[in-house]
Amino acid sequence: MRKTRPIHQRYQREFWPAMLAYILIMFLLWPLLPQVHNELLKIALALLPVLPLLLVVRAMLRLVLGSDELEQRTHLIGLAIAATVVSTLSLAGGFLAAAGVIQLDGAVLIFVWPVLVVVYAAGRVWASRRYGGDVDVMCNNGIALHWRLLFAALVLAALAWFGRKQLPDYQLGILCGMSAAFAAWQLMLVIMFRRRRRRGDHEAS
Amino acid sequence: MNNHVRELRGEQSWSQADLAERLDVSRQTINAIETGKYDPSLPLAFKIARLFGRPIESIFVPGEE
Repeated sequence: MRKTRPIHQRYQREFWPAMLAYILIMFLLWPLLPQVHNELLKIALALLPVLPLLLVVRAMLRLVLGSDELEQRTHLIGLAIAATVVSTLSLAGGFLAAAGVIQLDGAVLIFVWPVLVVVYAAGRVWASRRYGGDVDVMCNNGIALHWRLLFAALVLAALAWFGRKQLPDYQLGILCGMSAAFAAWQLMLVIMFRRRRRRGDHEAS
Repeated sequence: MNNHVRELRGEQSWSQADLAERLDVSRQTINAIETGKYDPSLPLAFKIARLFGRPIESIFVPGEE
């Protein structure tokens, strides 16, 4: 098991409780929105998921500020790629909607943040590999990435299982899809790891 | 820019992780410096020089232009 740097330990401590709160709010409280008729309460409930996300942003900001100079450079490259991709996609979508080619619902804005984070992570992985780093750049907590992915897949699958009667179909679909994606990613990493190890054993013998 | 960080680290029998911990940077940063993929900033270069007790110019040498 790799040794975890203090800034990564702090990031884990700050990130996961906030993320858990976000997931719980989204799957337990947010579906109650149609039943709320008081306007102020509706606004408060609609904005409730933003609160834990602000804590996630704070955790990420503290991670970046506490990183060393090369890590800060890879963060900058990742952010630049994410900002470019997301703003270009938004611009293209905006033009298509303005021209009447596609119909865009305002709720599509919900996806801006997750897409930004995913592209940022991918950009950071790409930047890190250019400097000889590995793919596990976002949250080194001393536990191998494939175990963390398996854990995430199981948590999402459990959420889908327990919420199968209350959750609407699209939310169940999102949960099952995310769980399957994490499980597939985990499986791919395990296969790559075993093949690499087998190749290493073969070369050593 | 070329450097002798790997040799100096070897003399001390330190792993990359050991050196990273002493310099308060990531192991990846040490690896990138040793393989010449990343040139450290002046403050980090001075920190490395101080840790090995050598002048900075004996560790970091300009590469071919």
